[in-house]
Amino acid sequence: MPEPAHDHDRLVLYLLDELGAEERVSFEAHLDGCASCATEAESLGGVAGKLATMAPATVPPDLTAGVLAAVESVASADARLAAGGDLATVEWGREMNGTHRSLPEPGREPVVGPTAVRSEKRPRRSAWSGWPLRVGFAAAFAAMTAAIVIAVGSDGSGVTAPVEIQGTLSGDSSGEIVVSELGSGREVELTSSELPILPKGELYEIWFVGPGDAPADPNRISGGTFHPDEAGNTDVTLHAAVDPALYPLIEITAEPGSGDPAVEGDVIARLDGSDQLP
Amino acid sequence: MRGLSEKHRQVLVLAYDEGLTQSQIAERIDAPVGTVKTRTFHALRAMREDLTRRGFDA
Repeated sequence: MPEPAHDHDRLVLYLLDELGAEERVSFEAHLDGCASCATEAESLGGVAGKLATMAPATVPPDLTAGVLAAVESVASADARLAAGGDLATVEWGREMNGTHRSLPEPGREPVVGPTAVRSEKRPRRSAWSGWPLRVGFAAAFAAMTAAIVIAVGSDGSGVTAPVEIQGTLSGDSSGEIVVSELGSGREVELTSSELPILPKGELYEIWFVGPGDAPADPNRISGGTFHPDEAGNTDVTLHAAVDPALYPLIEITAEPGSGDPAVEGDVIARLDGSDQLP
Repeated sequence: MRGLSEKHRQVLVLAYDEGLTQSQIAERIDAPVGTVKTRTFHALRAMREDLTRRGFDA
């Protein structure tokens, strides 16, 4: 008997404990009949469980002091340059006037990670909790989350470019694609776990296809080439000088890698973005 | 964590540290909730691969 279609959307909600009781029972029934999803749930559940037990890590106070000192040094140099004075005079004056930035009191260790900027949080429960916390892993994740808080920004949006086309690819393989407008063209973000790994030398190519495109009279612009990683996952960001208003259909083809710039391979997936454009 | 893309890290941070639901993340980053769920799925997968490469028992 063939396996049912994989349900990654509900799998994510299951791992994050966001399914209602009824939905949860329904999804667990799906897991009973879908070996692939069951394996994925068990494997990713371990990762989800680890993330759910992460604790913010503390860092030595002298790290903050070092960073502040470096900032102070740069600010002092800027002040000297702006005033036309010399650095030694500026530093002396700041010391005498007591204008140096005060550092955290000894014993009050700063906390890195998002908890340092957001005090209220909803504890994330996990059906897979109870995994032992690995200190090294926690520290690495805390450092990573701190970097992301900076990257996301105070509003948490992390989005700077207007999205023009966004959706799920259909065809032999699926995935998510986002096309955003940049000053220099378009950024194409593609995520998929279904694109098969191609034989060595072959590659995938993203195309922006316009009206009337035909093999004898092509009307398309390449958005770049890529291939999945060794695990079969695709997570790429490409750039293309193309206007989706003129080329609204997005196609992914499997190309032989012959060096011929014309499309030669079969279409693996596509998304028609024409209804998303003004 | 260097193996994770910025967008993968973003959804994991918002889900696990800020405790946002997938719908809330979608609203926060102005993306369809389906995109967020797909991104979270791939983020967990990437995290698993990263942990495995580093010798952790993922």
